[in-house]
Amino acid sequence: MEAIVSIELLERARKGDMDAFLALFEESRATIHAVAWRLVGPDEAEDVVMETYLRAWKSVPGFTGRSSVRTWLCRIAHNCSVDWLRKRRHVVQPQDFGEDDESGTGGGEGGQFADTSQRAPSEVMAGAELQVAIDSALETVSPEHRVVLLLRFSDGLSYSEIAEATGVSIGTVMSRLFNGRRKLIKALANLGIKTSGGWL
Amino acid sequence: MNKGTWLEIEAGLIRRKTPAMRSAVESFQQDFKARATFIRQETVAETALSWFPVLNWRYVVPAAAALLIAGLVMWPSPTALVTQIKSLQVFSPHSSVIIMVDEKEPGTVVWVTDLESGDGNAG
Repeated sequence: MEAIVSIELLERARKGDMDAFLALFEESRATIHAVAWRLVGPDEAEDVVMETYLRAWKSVPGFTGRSSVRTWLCRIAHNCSVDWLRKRRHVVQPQDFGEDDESGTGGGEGGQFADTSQRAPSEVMAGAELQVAIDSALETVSPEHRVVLLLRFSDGLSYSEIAEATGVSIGTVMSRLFNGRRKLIKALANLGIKTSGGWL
Repeated sequence: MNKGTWLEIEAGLIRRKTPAMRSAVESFQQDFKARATFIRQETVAETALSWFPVLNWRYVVPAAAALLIAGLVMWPSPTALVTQIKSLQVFSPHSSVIIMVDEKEPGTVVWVTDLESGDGNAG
Protein backbone atom coordinates (compact mmCIF):
# COMPACT_ATOMS: atom_id res chain seq x y z
CA MET A 1 0.00 0.00 0.00
CA GLU A 2 2.81 2.36 0.93
CA ALA A 3 4.62 1.54 -2.31
CA ILE A 4 1.49 2.36 -4.30
CA VAL A 5 1.20 5.70 -2.54
CA SER A 6 4.87 6.41 -3.25
CA ILE A 7 4.47 5.58 -6.93
CA GLU A 8 1.43 7.79 -7.15
CA LEU A 9 3.27 10.63 -5.40
CA LEU A 10 6.23 10.15 -7.70
CA GLU A 11 4.02 10.31 -10.78
CA ARG A 12 2.43 13.50 -9.52
CA ALA A 13 5.83 14.98 -8.67
CA ARG A 14 7.02 14.21 -12.19
CA LYS A 15 4.11 16.18 -13.53
CA GLY A 16 4.99 19.24 -11.47
CA ASP A 17 3.04 18.69 -8.26
CA MET A 18 5.23 20.28 -5.57
CA ASP A 19 3.13 19.03 -2.68
CA ALA A 20 3.49 15.46 -3.89
CA PHE A 21 7.22 15.98 -4.30
CA LEU A 22 7.58 17.34 -0.78
CA ALA A 23 5.41 14.60 0.69
CA LEU A 24 7.52 11.97 -1.00
CA PHE A 25 10.87 13.52 -0.16
CA GLU A 26 10.21 14.90 3.31
CA GLU A 27 11.15 11.69 5.08
CA SER A 28 14.61 11.85 3.51
CA ARG A 29 15.33 15.40 4.62
CA ALA A 30 17.05 14.44 7.87
CA THR A 31 19.29 11.99 6.04
CA ILE A 32 20.24 14.55 3.41
CA HIS A 33 20.91 17.07 6.15
CA ALA A 34 23.21 14.57 7.84
CA VAL A 35 25.12 14.01 4.59
CA ALA A 36 25.46 17.75 3.99
CA TRP A 37 26.46 18.34 7.60
CA ARG A 38 29.22 15.75 7.39
CA LEU A 39 30.48 16.95 4.02
CA VAL A 40 30.29 20.75 4.12
CA GLY A 41 29.79 21.55 7.78
CA PRO A 42 27.00 22.87 9.96
CA ASP A 43 26.94 26.43 8.66
CA GLU A 44 26.18 25.53 5.07
CA ALA A 45 24.43 22.21 5.49
CA GLU A 46 20.93 23.66 5.23
CA ASP A 47 21.80 25.52 2.03
CA VAL A 48 23.12 22.29 0.53
CA VAL A 49 19.91 20.50 1.55
CA MET A 50 17.86 23.13 -0.27
CA GLU A 51 20.10 22.93 -3.32
CA THR A 52 19.76 19.15 -3.28
CA TYR A 53 15.99 19.38 -3.22
CA LEU A 54 15.91 21.94 -6.01
CA ARG A 55 18.12 19.76 -8.20
CA ALA A 56 15.98 16.77 -7.39
CA TRP A 57 12.88 18.72 -8.30
CA LYS A 58 14.41 19.64 -11.64
CA SER A 59 15.36 16.12 -12.56
CA VAL A 60 12.63 14.09 -10.88
CA PRO A 61 10.88 13.43 -14.22
CA GLY A 62 13.87 11.31 -15.16
CA PHE A 63 14.04 9.45 -11.86
CA THR A 64 13.21 5.87 -12.74
CA GLY A 65 12.97 4.50 -9.22
CA ARG A 66 15.67 1.91 -9.81
CA SER A 67 17.27 3.08 -6.58
CA SER A 68 15.43 4.32 -3.54
CA VAL A 69 14.52 7.97 -3.23
CA ARG A 70 16.93 8.38 -0.34
CA THR A 71 19.83 6.78 -2.22
CA TRP A 72 19.12 8.98 -5.23
CA LEU A 73 19.01 12.07 -3.03
CA CYS A 74 22.26 11.05 -1.34
CA ARG A 75 23.97 11.07 -4.73
CA ILE A 76 22.58 14.52 -5.53
CA ALA A 77 23.58 15.75 -2.07
CA HIS A 78 27.11 14.48 -2.67
CA ASN A 79 27.30 16.35 -5.99
CA CYS A 80 25.89 19.51 -4.41
CA SER A 81 28.37 19.28 -1.55
CA VAL A 82 31.31 18.82 -3.91
CA ASP A 83 30.16 21.81 -5.98
CA TRP A 84 29.71 23.81 -2.80
CA LEU A 85 33.19 23.00 -1.60
CA ARG A 86 34.65 23.84 -5.00
CA LYS A 87 32.91 27.19 -4.92
CA ARG A 88 34.38 27.82 -1.53
CA ARG A 89 37.75 26.69 -2.87
CA HIS A 90 38.04 24.11 -0.18
CA VAL A 91 39.82 20.87 -0.64
CA VAL A 92 37.23 18.43 -1.96
CA GLN A 93 37.42 15.88 0.73
CA PRO A 94 34.91 14.53 3.16
CA GLN A 95 35.09 16.52 6.33
CA ASP A 96 33.75 15.76 9.71
CA PHE A 97 32.00 18.44 11.62
CA GLY A 98 30.97 17.06 14.93
CA GLU A 99 28.76 18.65 17.48
CA ASP A 100 31.66 19.89 19.51
CA ASP A 101 30.87 23.54 18.98
CA GLU A 102 27.30 23.14 20.08
CA SER A 103 27.41 20.53 22.77
CA GLY A 104 30.75 21.44 24.19
CA THR A 105 31.48 17.80 24.87
CA GLY A 106 33.99 17.22 22.11
CA GLY A 107 37.68 17.81 21.73
CA GLY A 108 38.69 16.19 24.96
CA GLU A 109 42.33 16.24 25.82
CA GLY A 110 43.94 12.93 25.16
CA GLY A 111 46.40 13.56 27.96
CA GLN A 112 43.81 13.27 30.68
CA PHE A 113 43.60 9.55 29.97
CA ALA A 114 47.30 8.96 29.97
CA ASP A 115 47.41 7.61 33.50
CA THR A 116 44.28 5.55 33.28
CA SER A 117 44.93 1.86 33.66
CA GLN A 118 43.55 -0.58 31.14
CA ARG A 119 39.91 -0.97 32.06
CA ALA A 120 36.68 -1.87 30.35
CA PRO A 121 34.42 1.09 29.56
CA SER A 122 31.53 -0.29 31.56
CA GLU A 123 33.76 -0.61 34.60
CA VAL A 124 35.32 2.77 34.65
CA MET A 125 34.04 5.18 32.12
CA ALA A 126 30.89 6.97 33.02
CA GLY A 127 28.81 7.95 30.03
CA ALA A 128 30.12 11.49 29.71
CA GLU A 129 33.70 10.46 30.19
CA LEU A 130 33.43 7.73 27.57
CA GLN A 131 31.81 10.22 25.24
CA VAL A 132 34.76 12.56 25.57
CA ALA A 133 37.08 9.65 24.87
CA ILE A 134 35.12 8.65 21.76
CA ASP A 135 35.07 12.22 20.50
CA SER A 136 38.77 12.51 21.10
CA ALA A 137 39.49 9.17 19.44
CA LEU A 138 37.43 10.13 16.42
CA GLU A 139 39.64 13.15 15.91
CA THR A 140 42.58 10.85 15.31
CA VAL A 141 40.79 8.87 12.59
CA SER A 142 41.24 10.08 9.02
CA PRO A 143 38.37 12.20 7.60
CA GLU A 144 37.47 9.51 5.03
CA HIS A 145 37.07 6.89 7.72
CA ARG A 146 35.45 9.24 10.20
CA VAL A 147 32.73 10.44 7.85
CA VAL A 148 31.81 6.85 6.96
CA LEU A 149 31.76 5.83 10.63
CA LEU A 150 29.55 8.75 11.56
CA LEU A 151 27.15 8.36 8.65
CA ARG A 152 26.77 4.70 9.51
CA PHE A 153 26.70 4.60 13.28
CA SER A 154 25.57 8.11 14.18
CA ASP A 155 23.16 8.88 11.36
CA GLY A 156 22.09 5.36 10.46
CA LEU A 157 22.61 5.44 6.71
CA SER A 158 22.72 2.20 4.74
CA TYR A 159 25.84 1.09 2.87
CA SER A 160 24.41 2.11 -0.48
CA GLU A 161 23.37 5.51 0.86
CA ILE A 162 26.85 6.10 2.27
CA ALA A 163 28.37 5.00 -1.02
CA GLU A 164 26.32 7.57 -2.93
CA ALA A 165 26.84 10.24 -0.30
CA THR A 166 30.62 9.88 -0.34
CA GLY A 167 31.02 9.03 -4.02
CA VAL A 168 32.70 5.68 -3.52
CA SER A 169 31.70 2.06 -4.10
CA ILE A 170 29.90 -0.05 -1.53
CA GLY A 171 33.03 -2.18 -1.25
CA THR A 172 35.04 0.89 -0.31
CA VAL A 173 32.40 1.84 2.25
CA MET A 174 32.66 -1.59 3.85
CA SER A 175 36.42 -1.42 3.84
CA ARG A 176 36.41 2.05 5.39
CA LEU A 177 33.96 0.94 8.03
CA PHE A 178 36.12 -2.01 8.93
CA ASN A 179 39.36 -0.02 9.03
CA GLY A 180 37.71 2.99 10.63
CA ARG A 181 36.35 0.87 13.43
CA ARG A 182 39.75 -0.72 13.92
CA LYS A 183 41.43 2.68 14.05
CA LEU A 184 38.83 4.01 16.44
CA ILE A 185 39.38 1.10 18.79
CA LYS A 186 43.13 1.55 18.54
CA ALA A 187 42.75 5.24 19.33
CA LEU A 188 40.57 4.40 22.32
CA ALA A 189 43.20 1.93 23.46
CA ASN A 190 45.75 4.73 23.28
CA LEU A 191 43.46 6.66 25.57
CA GLY A 192 43.55 3.82 28.04
CA ILE A 193 40.37 1.99 27.14
CA LYS A 194 41.08 -1.70 26.97
CA THR A 195 39.93 -3.52 23.87
CA SER A 196 40.52 -7.12 22.97
CA GLY A 197 39.82 -6.61 19.27
CA GLY A 198 38.74 -10.18 19.01
CA TRP A 199 35.15 -9.31 18.31
CA LEU A 200 35.95 -7.01 15.44
CA MET B 1 36.49 -7.55 26.50
CA ASN B 2 33.06 -8.55 25.37
CA LYS B 3 30.74 -7.33 22.67
CA GLY B 4 29.23 -4.89 25.04
CA THR B 5 32.24 -2.71 24.50
CA TRP B 6 31.37 -1.96 20.91
CA LEU B 7 27.76 -1.40 21.90
CA GLU B 8 28.95 1.24 24.33
CA ILE B 9 31.10 2.84 21.67
CA GLU B 10 28.17 2.71 19.26
CA ALA B 11 26.02 4.41 21.84
CA GLY B 12 28.65 7.11 22.03
CA LEU B 13 28.60 7.45 18.25
CA ILE B 14 24.82 7.68 18.21
CA ARG B 15 25.12 10.65 20.55
CA ARG B 16 27.06 12.37 17.78
CA LYS B 17 24.04 12.16 15.52
CA THR B 18 23.58 15.17 13.31
CA PRO B 19 21.18 17.60 14.99
CA ALA B 20 17.87 18.38 13.37
CA MET B 21 17.68 21.15 10.80
CA ARG B 22 17.23 24.58 12.27
CA SER B 23 14.53 25.49 9.80
CA ALA B 24 11.13 24.03 10.53
CA VAL B 25 9.36 21.81 8.03
CA GLU B 26 6.88 24.51 7.06
CA SER B 27 9.46 27.21 6.45
CA PHE B 28 11.67 24.80 4.49
CA GLN B 29 8.75 23.81 2.30
CA GLN B 30 7.67 27.39 1.75
CA ASP B 31 11.21 28.37 0.82
CA PHE B 32 11.45 25.39 -1.50
CA LYS B 33 8.20 26.22 -3.25
CA ALA B 34 9.23 29.83 -3.71
CA ARG B 35 12.45 28.79 -5.38
CA ALA B 36 11.17 25.78 -7.29
CA THR B 37 8.57 27.93 -9.01
CA PHE B 38 11.36 29.41 -11.10
CA ILE B 39 12.86 26.07 -12.04
CA ARG B 40 11.68 24.30 -15.14
CA GLN B 41 11.54 20.58 -14.64
CA GLU B 42 13.52 18.56 -17.14
CA THR B 43 11.67 16.39 -19.56
CA VAL B 44 12.47 12.70 -19.55
CA ALA B 45 14.38 13.11 -22.81
CA GLU B 46 16.53 15.89 -21.35
CA THR B 47 17.28 13.81 -18.32
CA ALA B 48 18.27 10.86 -20.48
CA LEU B 49 20.56 13.17 -22.42
CA SER B 50 22.18 14.49 -19.29
CA TRP B 51 23.19 10.97 -18.36
CA PHE B 52 25.22 10.83 -21.57
CA PRO B 53 28.14 13.08 -20.69
CA VAL B 54 29.57 13.05 -24.21
CA LEU B 55 26.48 14.90 -25.43
CA ASN B 56 26.67 17.46 -22.69
CA TRP B 57 26.91 20.96 -24.17
CA ARG B 58 30.13 21.53 -22.29
CA TYR B 59 31.70 18.92 -24.53
CA VAL B 60 29.69 19.44 -27.69
CA VAL B 61 30.37 23.15 -28.13
CA PRO B 62 34.19 22.99 -27.88
CA ALA B 63 34.24 19.85 -30.02
CA ALA B 64 32.13 21.51 -32.71
CA ALA B 65 34.32 24.62 -32.62
CA ALA B 66 37.46 22.51 -32.95
CA LEU B 67 36.00 20.63 -35.90
CA LEU B 68 34.99 23.86 -37.59
CA ILE B 69 38.46 25.38 -37.21
CA ALA B 70 40.13 22.19 -38.37
CA GLY B 71 37.80 22.07 -41.37
CA LEU B 72 38.56 25.64 -42.34
CA VAL B 73 42.28 25.11 -42.05
CA MET B 74 42.37 21.84 -43.90
CA TRP B 75 39.71 22.53 -46.52
CA PRO B 76 41.38 22.96 -49.92
CA SER B 77 41.12 26.47 -51.42
CA PRO B 78 39.05 26.99 -54.62
CA THR B 79 42.27 27.51 -56.53
CA ALA B 80 43.64 24.26 -55.35
CA LEU B 81 40.47 22.58 -56.49
CA VAL B 82 40.62 24.05 -60.01
CA THR B 83 44.26 24.35 -61.00
CA GLN B 84 47.44 23.30 -59.51
CA ILE B 85 50.75 23.70 -61.31
CA LYS B 86 53.15 21.22 -59.92
CA SER B 87 56.03 21.86 -62.29
CA LEU B 88 56.77 23.98 -65.32
CA GLN B 89 59.55 23.78 -67.81
CA VAL B 90 60.19 26.29 -70.61
CA PHE B 91 62.61 24.94 -73.14
CA SER B 92 63.07 28.04 -75.28
CA PRO B 93 65.20 30.91 -74.01
CA HIS B 94 63.17 33.47 -71.99
CA SER B 95 63.68 36.10 -69.32
CA SER B 96 61.04 35.26 -66.68
CA VAL B 97 57.91 33.24 -65.92
CA ILE B 98 54.95 34.79 -64.17
CA ILE B 99 52.13 32.63 -62.80
CA MET B 100 48.90 34.48 -62.02
CA VAL B 101 46.14 32.82 -60.06
CA ASP B 102 42.62 34.23 -60.25
CA GLU B 103 40.80 33.14 -57.09
CA LYS B 104 37.50 34.87 -57.89
CA GLU B 105 37.01 33.15 -61.17
CA PRO B 106 39.11 30.09 -60.78
CA GLY B 107 41.86 30.13 -63.37
CA THR B 108 45.58 30.33 -63.79
CA VAL B 109 47.57 32.36 -66.30
CA VAL B 110 51.15 31.50 -67.11
CA TRP B 111 53.09 34.42 -68.56
CA VAL B 112 56.49 33.80 -70.07
CA THR B 113 58.37 36.97 -70.99
CA ASP B 114 60.87 37.40 -73.76
CA LEU B 115 60.31 33.95 -75.05
CA GLU B 116 62.37 33.34 -78.14
CA SER B 117 60.55 31.36 -80.75
CA GLY B 118 62.30 29.33 -83.38
CA ASP B 119 61.90 32.03 -86.04
CA GLY B 120 63.37 34.72 -83.76
CA ASN B 121 60.13 36.39 -82.68
CA ALA B 122 59.51 37.03 -79.01
CA GLY B 123 56.39 35.37 -77.49
